[in-house]
Amino acid sequence: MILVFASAALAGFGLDRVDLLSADPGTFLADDISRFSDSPTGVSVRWFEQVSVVLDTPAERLHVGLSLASQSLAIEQSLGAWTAWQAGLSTSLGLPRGAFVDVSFRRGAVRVAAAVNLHTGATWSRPQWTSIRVLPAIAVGVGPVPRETAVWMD
Amino acid sequence: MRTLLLAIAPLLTLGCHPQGEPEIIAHRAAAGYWPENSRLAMERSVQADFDGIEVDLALTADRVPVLSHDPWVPHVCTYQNGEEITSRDLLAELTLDELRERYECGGHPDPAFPNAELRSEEMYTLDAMIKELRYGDPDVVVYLDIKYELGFTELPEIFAEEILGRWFEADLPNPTWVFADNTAAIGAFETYARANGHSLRTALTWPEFPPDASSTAIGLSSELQQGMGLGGPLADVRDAGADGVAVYWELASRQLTRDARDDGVDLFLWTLNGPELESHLDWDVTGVITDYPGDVR
Repeated sequence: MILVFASAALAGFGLDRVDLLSADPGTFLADDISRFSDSPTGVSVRWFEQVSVVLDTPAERLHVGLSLASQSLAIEQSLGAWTAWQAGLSTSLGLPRGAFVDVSFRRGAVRVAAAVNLHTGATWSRPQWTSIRVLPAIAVGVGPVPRETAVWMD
Repeated sequence: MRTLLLAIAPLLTLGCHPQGEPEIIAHRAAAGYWPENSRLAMERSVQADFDGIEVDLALTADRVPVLSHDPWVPHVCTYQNGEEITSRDLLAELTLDELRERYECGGHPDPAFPNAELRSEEMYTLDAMIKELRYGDPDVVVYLDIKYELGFTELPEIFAEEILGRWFEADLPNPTWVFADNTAAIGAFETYARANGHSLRTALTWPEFPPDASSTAIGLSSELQQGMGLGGPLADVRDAGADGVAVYWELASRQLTRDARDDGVDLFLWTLNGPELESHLDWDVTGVITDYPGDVR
């Protein structure tokens, strides 16, 4: 893991934030959290799977999100002071399986976003896009305090 | 644009959950009320008219199908003198007569089900169960869970021959499923049924928990495997050629129910009791397996 982050940093990637509650794929809030009282261990594992490390990339405004459950590419655009919107492509190990948009508020180290996720269950072991779910989601992330030049400060 | 929206409208399902009416299936013939896989449990389950009854089947040394969750004498049995069994006495090394001479089952409390009624019996056979089923509702679905274990039992082909041979000969009207936790057993039963001109519905039990393996490790690795999209019950059921899949309930998800429905795969959840059973009754699954089928409101 250290090697991955070191390589990423050398290639011009940097940590934007860690989404403790991620909008991608969005099934944790929609499906899993309500089962916590029945299966605290199982839901905790599902939570861990969706925790996403979001990296800045050398391409301006382009973020990469990496979690066990999903990997995404997203473009973020400022809406004004502290606020931004974002659109992203969700994948399962590179296989496209959905998309999401969100509107976020970021102040200091904390980012909160309201999102809508178009989600299919497609994976490499089951590459099917036969049904699409529309999942509302909330994302909560923490990360380094943004520099003056960050996109939401444009 | 309007045409496009109309075209994709059926594909879009808002986050709401479909209301399901799963069959309530008596696990091991309702182990919460009566000793698991016993004559008493089968008699009472047949009288109770549950939606479905699930039993486990293994073979003795003389290839008689008996009801047992394990390939060895089950934990609900003791020696005839009442002494607890501390070894693994393999069923494949004991004839039915030897089993009946040496062991009795169901007469001492099972710590997992302290309130279950007790009755000491000899090992219960598939033949006796078939006779019992003739007294019951012909619509009760029977789930035969095959306990083939590599290294502990006969080959799956022998299981298929002995179990399905008796089952097809009995010609019971009850709808039937065969469950097994491995592809070899599913394949053997499908092949035997086809070769004898019968149709058979099979379901893969997922994940497989082999004897002596850590259930925590298997549960966690199975969850991560499906969470990362590297596999999962639907991929495995496709490889097994089964019609359905019975998933350990904590590894299931709402997304899995949707995917199973899209794939035309019957999905069962095992084994839910108490509050978790109640909270899964609206899931869009074919059946839920419980030790307490009579408690469902």
